[in-house]
Amino acid sequence: MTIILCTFLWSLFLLLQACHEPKMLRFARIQKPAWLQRAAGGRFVLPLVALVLCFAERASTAIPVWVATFSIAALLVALGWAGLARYRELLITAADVRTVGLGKE
Amino acid sequence: MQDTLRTRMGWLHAWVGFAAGLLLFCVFASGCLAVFDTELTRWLQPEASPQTEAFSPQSLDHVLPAVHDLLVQGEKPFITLPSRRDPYLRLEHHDGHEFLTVPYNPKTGERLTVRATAGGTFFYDLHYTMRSGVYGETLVAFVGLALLLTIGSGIIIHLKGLVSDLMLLRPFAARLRAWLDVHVVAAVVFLPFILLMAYSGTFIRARTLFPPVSYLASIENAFRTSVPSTPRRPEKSAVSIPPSFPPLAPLVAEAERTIGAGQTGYILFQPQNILISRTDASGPLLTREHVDFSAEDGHVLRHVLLPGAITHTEQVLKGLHYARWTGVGMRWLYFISGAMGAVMFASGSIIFLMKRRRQSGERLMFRIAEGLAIGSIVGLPLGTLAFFWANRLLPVALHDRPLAEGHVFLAVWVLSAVSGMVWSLLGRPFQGWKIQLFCLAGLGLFLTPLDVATRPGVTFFHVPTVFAATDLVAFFLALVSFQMARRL
Repeated sequence: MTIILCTFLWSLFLLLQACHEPKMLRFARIQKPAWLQRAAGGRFVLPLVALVLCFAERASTAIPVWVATFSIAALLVALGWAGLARYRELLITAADVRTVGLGKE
Repeated sequence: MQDTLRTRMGWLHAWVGFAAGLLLFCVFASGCLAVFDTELTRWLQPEASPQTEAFSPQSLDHVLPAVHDLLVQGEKPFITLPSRRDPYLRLEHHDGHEFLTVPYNPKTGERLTVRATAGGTFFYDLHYTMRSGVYGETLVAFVGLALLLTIGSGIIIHLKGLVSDLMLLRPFAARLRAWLDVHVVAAVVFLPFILLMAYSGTFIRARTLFPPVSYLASIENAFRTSVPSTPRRPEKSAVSIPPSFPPLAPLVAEAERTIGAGQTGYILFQPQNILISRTDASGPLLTREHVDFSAEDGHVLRHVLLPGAITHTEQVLKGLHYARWTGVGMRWLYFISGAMGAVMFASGSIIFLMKRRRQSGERLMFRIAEGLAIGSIVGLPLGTLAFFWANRLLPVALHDRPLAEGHVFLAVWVLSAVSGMVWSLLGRPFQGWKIQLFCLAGLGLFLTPLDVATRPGVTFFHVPTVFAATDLVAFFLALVSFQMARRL
């Protein structure tokens, strides 16, 4: 259960982190949401909460669990972001094609 | 080109990475399978059902005649007590490569009729010796050093984009870009795990890197033809083995008073002693603390717990590397991280070849390198799946069955390497990649039907077991292979 919860918290943190990276935003062709600006520093709380959870479950294994869940979460976000970027790309391409088609008419 | 530290490191990263990477791919792939060695043994012995009765210490005494027989044969048998990973009582001994295991009913002590198999520890031996004994062990230790070098140079190369490119994966970009992203994501995201494994693995095998006898002397000894001045001694120990052992249940209870309740894991038999050892699942510190009893009358001889800072450091690193203390969740994290380590080496080798394909003019050396890459990256998974197929298809009564399974694994791996090399030398490497990837997809895809067809007492709707997990992983591997073959 702790592993799932930590992976979720890390995923949330990394998702917010990706929304702050101009390169990631350009890749997915999305604009940075305005509300993210206000919660810029708040995202750093999430990994700490995950660390506290790991320690609460078993102190001797907290660090390996915390680090391993970071890796899994980063992989999940990378795959999800790649999917989102592909979806946005197809959406924009379809919209462009429709615009060109309407222009011809 | 400006000769900066980054370009120099790029050269080092590429060449050392490729040279060692093909072997390191095998080390990581077999390592991530070895994490589930006990579970794989259960898949490989399908006659033992997933659930069984609760453990009764009195059942241990029923195993003693078999223990005695193994001791007479000069083996070092031990009993593994039931645990959350494996509900069976198991009698095991090392055959020089694997731990061969026979399951017993944990309540009655009755021996279960199961097929003989090399089991999941086949991959453990493959992981750290490549099944080549001390020479393989030394080679793997040296490529562990090369891995540390590759990681260091890789960090310097990617330092600029370490954070911004952390999750940048563009699988639909140009091929080289896509592979580079896969390599960076696998390497950077799983860097803590890869670094830990490289460091702890090299530390554990430090004895092979810095042997007490010099390398020169070892080589001289290897080539020296020795003429024995005295007749060879018989291999069997001269120490007498008692005709019967004392009842084990009181010994386990006594050991638990010292080690802790529920903390005993193994009972190791020697001609004169019975060692009851702490379970590896008790914590990240792999202490192997044990209480020794006399094999004659069962009185306590000693309690052994090695003290000291260096010993503790070794125990922690071993504990973190072997991951025997972990639960099923953490074990999966190790498995996925190990698999991503293998992906890192595979993608790195592919990038190395892609970058050099045009500029090399497909010279002989390049073709050999590509042939080796096919043999390693596709050959090892092919051999692994062939091992699982062989386990289910070879006759149960076959003599020396564990060895036959190993031979099938090696034969398929060699066949894959030779075929990859031939296609590459003929100037048609993509054909080589494609055929083998499709074969891999086929073997993985049909492993589930094979499992269902050859497993006694199979039911479709049961709790998740080792069988379902193994079949699903093979199915996933098949899908990935199929997609790779399609996109080549």
